[in-house]
Amino acid sequence: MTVAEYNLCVEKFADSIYRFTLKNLKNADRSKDIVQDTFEKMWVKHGEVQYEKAKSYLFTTAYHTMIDLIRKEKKMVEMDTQAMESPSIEGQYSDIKEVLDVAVDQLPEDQRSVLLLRDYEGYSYKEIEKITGLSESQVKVYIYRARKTMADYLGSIETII
Amino acid sequence: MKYNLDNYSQYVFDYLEGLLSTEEAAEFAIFLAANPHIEAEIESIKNFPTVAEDGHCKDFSYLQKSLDQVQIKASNYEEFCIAELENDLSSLESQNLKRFLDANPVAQSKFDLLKKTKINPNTLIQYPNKSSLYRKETGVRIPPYHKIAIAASISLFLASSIFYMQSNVRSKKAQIVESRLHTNHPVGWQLEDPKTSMEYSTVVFETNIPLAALDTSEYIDRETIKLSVIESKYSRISNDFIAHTPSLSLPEKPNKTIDSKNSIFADELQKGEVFMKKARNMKLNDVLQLSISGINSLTEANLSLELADQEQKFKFRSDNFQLKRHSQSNSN
Repeated sequence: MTVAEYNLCVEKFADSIYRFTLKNLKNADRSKDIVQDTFEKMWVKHGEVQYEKAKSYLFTTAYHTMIDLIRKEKKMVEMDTQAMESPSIEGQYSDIKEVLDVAVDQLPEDQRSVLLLRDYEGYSYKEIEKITGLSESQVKVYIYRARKTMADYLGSIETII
Repeated sequence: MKYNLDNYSQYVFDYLEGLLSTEEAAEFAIFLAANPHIEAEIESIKNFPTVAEDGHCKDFSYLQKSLDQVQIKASNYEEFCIAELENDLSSLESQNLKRFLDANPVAQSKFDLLKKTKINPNTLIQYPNKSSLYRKETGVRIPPYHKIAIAASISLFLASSIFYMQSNVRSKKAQIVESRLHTNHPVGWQLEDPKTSMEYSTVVFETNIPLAALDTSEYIDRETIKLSVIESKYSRISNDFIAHTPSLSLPEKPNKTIDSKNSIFADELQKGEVFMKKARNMKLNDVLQLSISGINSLTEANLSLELADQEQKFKFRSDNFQLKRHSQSNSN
């Protein structure tokens, strides 16, 4: 990858990687650090990384950096089924997007990150498998479970409202 | 035990599909017994509707099979709905699902809810400092954490003197060496990045870097200071830095104590904190100049930090500084 191609990657992917990590971590500073770290790593290897595979390289690096960070800080979010069934902030939502944000935030970490790769970036199951190291069937199940959980949550909120 | 909270998820599917050995399965069962919330989660996976056409419950391998083998019914239509959203259905399966939904308003409502779970990125959110990521063909960029380390290391010359006098000198060498900072270059600092083996002939500082509030330091020996950059720890970009300062040759014992000009740092220094705590709202350049002033005050090193040749100025809102050490007769 040339320097120009590297800079093109910055232009094209820095925002999307930032949004992906920010949505997962909910911490702007750490998300910025991960973006910075991710591009640093790619710069070190820019002679080896092909431009066509740069996006995958960046998301793979960002994903694993993020997962390591979450695990290290023991902030893995466990599914709170009770909260899903009995939302405590009922009636405070102004629109469906807010409800959706809460639903996404409450997903377990692995489901959330896989779902974001799918919806934000449009990655296929196979591509997500490569990025995350999960099996394709795991990826599929996580996405299915995430959607089902979110739909249940949306349903419960709509019923309340 | 082989299984723990960090790794159990990778074994769940093997466990459910009976792919673990007897011993592994037994050990996994013990792990689950000790973690009821995980056991409950796995139970929910087991109960995930997986009813085949013949009515027998299958394992998760059904997801790898074509759904056209499965009849759509109340117990499994949600999976078909999700599969439709994910474009996993054939046209025939989509038609079958549509017929099912047309005949089942409740299922149709559920499908409408599922459609809402497609999330879109908020494109108004953008990485705020993209310019810092760009590279030049011939230039090099000092990573921000190095910049912080550089700023912190300069300030730590002050701290090191105090620590030395108070002196519980630590002989322990830090285990992690992320960067080495030395000053034997005649016109400026050199920074070697051990990850890339790049050497930077000139330090490039951005002038608007938010500074870490609670950087800490250890005096290791006369030429070595260990920096712990808290912000970097959070980000796991790096842990500790070692600043080697051989050619500055700080006196064995500072010949001056902190004067009134630097008194604002005294409390932080006494507590082992870098003065940046007081300087958190300052621009990096201000902090560096203040640091140089403090260093000169303590050591009579006669250093100055000057803006380098404008032609060398980098374009990304950065200024190119050189740290110079002046003698009485000439500067080098």
